[in-house]
Amino acid sequence: MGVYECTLAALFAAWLLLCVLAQLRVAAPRVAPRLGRWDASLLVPRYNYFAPVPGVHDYHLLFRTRTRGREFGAWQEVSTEGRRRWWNFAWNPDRRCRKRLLDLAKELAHRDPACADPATVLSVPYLMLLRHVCAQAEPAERADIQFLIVTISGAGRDELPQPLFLSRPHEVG
Amino acid sequence: MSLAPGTALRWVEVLASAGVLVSSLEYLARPRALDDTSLASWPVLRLRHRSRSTGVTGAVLNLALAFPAVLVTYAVRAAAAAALAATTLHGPLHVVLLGLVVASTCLPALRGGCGCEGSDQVLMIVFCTLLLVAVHPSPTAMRLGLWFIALHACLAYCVSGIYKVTSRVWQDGTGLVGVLGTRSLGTPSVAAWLAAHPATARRLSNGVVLFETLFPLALAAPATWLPYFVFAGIGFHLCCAVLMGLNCFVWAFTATYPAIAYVVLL
Repeated sequence: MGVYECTLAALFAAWLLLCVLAQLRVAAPRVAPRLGRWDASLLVPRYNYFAPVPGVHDYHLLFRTRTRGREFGAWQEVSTEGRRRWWNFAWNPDRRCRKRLLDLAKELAHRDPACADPATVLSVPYLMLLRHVCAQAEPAERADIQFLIVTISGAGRDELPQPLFLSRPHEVG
Repeated sequence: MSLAPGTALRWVEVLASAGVLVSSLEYLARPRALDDTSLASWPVLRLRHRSRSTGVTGAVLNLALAFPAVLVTYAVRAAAAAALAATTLHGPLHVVLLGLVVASTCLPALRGGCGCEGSDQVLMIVFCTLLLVAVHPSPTAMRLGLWFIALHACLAYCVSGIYKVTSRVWQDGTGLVGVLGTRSLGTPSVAAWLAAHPATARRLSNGVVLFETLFPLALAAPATWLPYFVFAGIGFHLCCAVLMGLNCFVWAFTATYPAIAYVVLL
């Protein structure tokens, strides 16, 4: 083997070892979370797809507005999903939008489900959702805006939606 | 029967390129999902890291990742993937095209990782490997690349299976019914049928767990078993695509199968 092949072998071995370590949340609880932070780089992934506990909820984003001196209006849903179509097995451009809402909702709910920490309103997922719902609201009706993320269980469609995260009201416009 | 390393790598490249092409075209088909008020708003996402929002790095990233420039980046990624899938290339042009795909696959990660999925991770690893081999495509480098891809695929399946083995909801089938019951990642009508037939749901769930956990045996089993592993894998991913809409997983994981075939047929 030449120099390049030796370097390549060492690189692949080290890379594979890092990936193995990144999976060991139980056996190496200190190492694995640090490597898990590299998830977003796509080079050291964690492969526990839908496990150990799979997500069994749909996430929905709603907002409501109020003009000055009035009560909040009804909740309106922001659509992040086109209907599933038969051709989605080959072509499914809407799934990433749904995944984004899921990622943002989970991050917010994990960080501060009660929205009690003042720093939460400055966090990236909060700002992202706030900016998104502000763009959906009619400019004429804007004064205060508030958003809500609710979950609906896949197993029990008859169950009421469960609130996951309620934002603070924000004056906009 | 054996498979030449060059042929195996070419099949890996074709299948992975098809996955990147579909993924890139999907981004381009929903341009508003990347604009400044979307759930992937770059002016907000870049606030996650100081280095991405200030200085020279921030300015450079802004050129490639801000809307609408990011659409050009995805168009370049699609074009590079299409060229790699359509033609057998060698030399500097091959390296440049692979480098373009790798660089542009980093984009969702640099944009904050939000919305990325498992198929993006597998495609990234496959294309990085292809690039490293293409820089110096000696027979040894090709063999190393194929072994790395094959081992990585086995790691992905096995880890996913082991995590499910330890989960009660995967053992009794309720996890599978729950996922399939969602509108975003399932087919509620199938979930309702499985909920009415819990024994079938449990057997199906255990089948998925068994297939994933035991997949690495493909490398150790006799070569005559290879078609069974390959067809089981393709069938599994097609089912996930049909029932869950995970279309890019089909391309990402089947792209690793030529590497597995090479290792098995050695």
